[in-house]
Amino acid sequence: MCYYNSIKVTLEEYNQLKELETVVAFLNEEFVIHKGFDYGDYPIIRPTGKGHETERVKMQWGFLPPHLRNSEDVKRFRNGYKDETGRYFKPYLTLNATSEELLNKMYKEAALKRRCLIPSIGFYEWMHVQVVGKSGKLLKTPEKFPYLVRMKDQEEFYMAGVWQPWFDAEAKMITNTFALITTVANSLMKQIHNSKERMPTILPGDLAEAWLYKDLSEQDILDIANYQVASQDMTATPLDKDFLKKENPNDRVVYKEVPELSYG
Amino acid sequence: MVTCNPGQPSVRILGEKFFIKFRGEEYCCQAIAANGRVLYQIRLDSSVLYITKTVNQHGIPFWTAIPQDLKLRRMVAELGRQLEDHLIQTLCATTTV
Repeated sequence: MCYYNSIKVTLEEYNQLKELETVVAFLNEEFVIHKGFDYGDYPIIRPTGKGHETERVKMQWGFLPPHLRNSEDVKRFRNGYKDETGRYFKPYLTLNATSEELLNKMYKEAALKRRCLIPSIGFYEWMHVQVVGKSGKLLKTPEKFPYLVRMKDQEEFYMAGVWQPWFDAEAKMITNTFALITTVANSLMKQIHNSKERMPTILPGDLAEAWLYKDLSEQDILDIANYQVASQDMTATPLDKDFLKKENPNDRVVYKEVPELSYG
Repeated sequence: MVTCNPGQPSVRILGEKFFIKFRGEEYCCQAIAANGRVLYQIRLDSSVLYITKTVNQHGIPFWTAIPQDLKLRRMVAELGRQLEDHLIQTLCATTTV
């Protein structure tokens, strides 16, 4: 007899339920939309160190530098805090690392030694649009319209990333964490992510390979990290504002307030 | 935010999606055949819960989350009941282990 949910089941039944866990692990990766601010695990690709072999491993999305000692430090680092004197320390957002600052202090060692790829079938960004209110005047706060952005001829594509093992000195545990690299938005992404004008660094096959395996100089690293995929190779679909709650979150929605996108 | 598709699992989608009511909200469900069993996928706000019907050592059926999660036991039992009610009402079918 074995226990499942602390209820005794037969060994055969237990084994079947454990096998279903493997299936669910696969299904979860296919169906779940990963939200960065959940700081959850996400599958990434890294070299195993044996020739050109790679492995997919789950790491926590949200780069943690080694100087953080425990989970309390992590909470302060990610959320910001006030010290005893009332001085406020701003939070660090390390879900993304901007390509321009990749060789600055926090990410430098990882960029030189621990580069990875983040597989994806699409990412979501919000267009900020000033809309006219009931009074006929422009509202102060822009409305946000979500878009799903995919690559035209590639179901799965790869984004550049860097990873960092983080040791929790209190729990005596290592957590592998990563940041996704962003670059300046191309003309399509400038229209969609118009608040920040950034986009993930999406790498074509040869650059993805170089990013993983090659002994790159600092200049090579910056060049690849700044790579900008062409607008014409992307496709963007406007989605329901509440798409995360929808049965089919990726269904196209047409908004009259939103201008047509130009791929040119 | 990012979505990921790391590979096709060996599973089969069974029938159409349907909705069940749970604590005043409607949730989208999908039956999935996997390893000769039926899993029910329930889409919550930004995550997905998988449940299946199993049987204890005395042959008494119960619902469990896959992977197991003790904290969800009551919720899973309730969702399982709602799911069974839905299947009985709409398909005149019931669930098996």
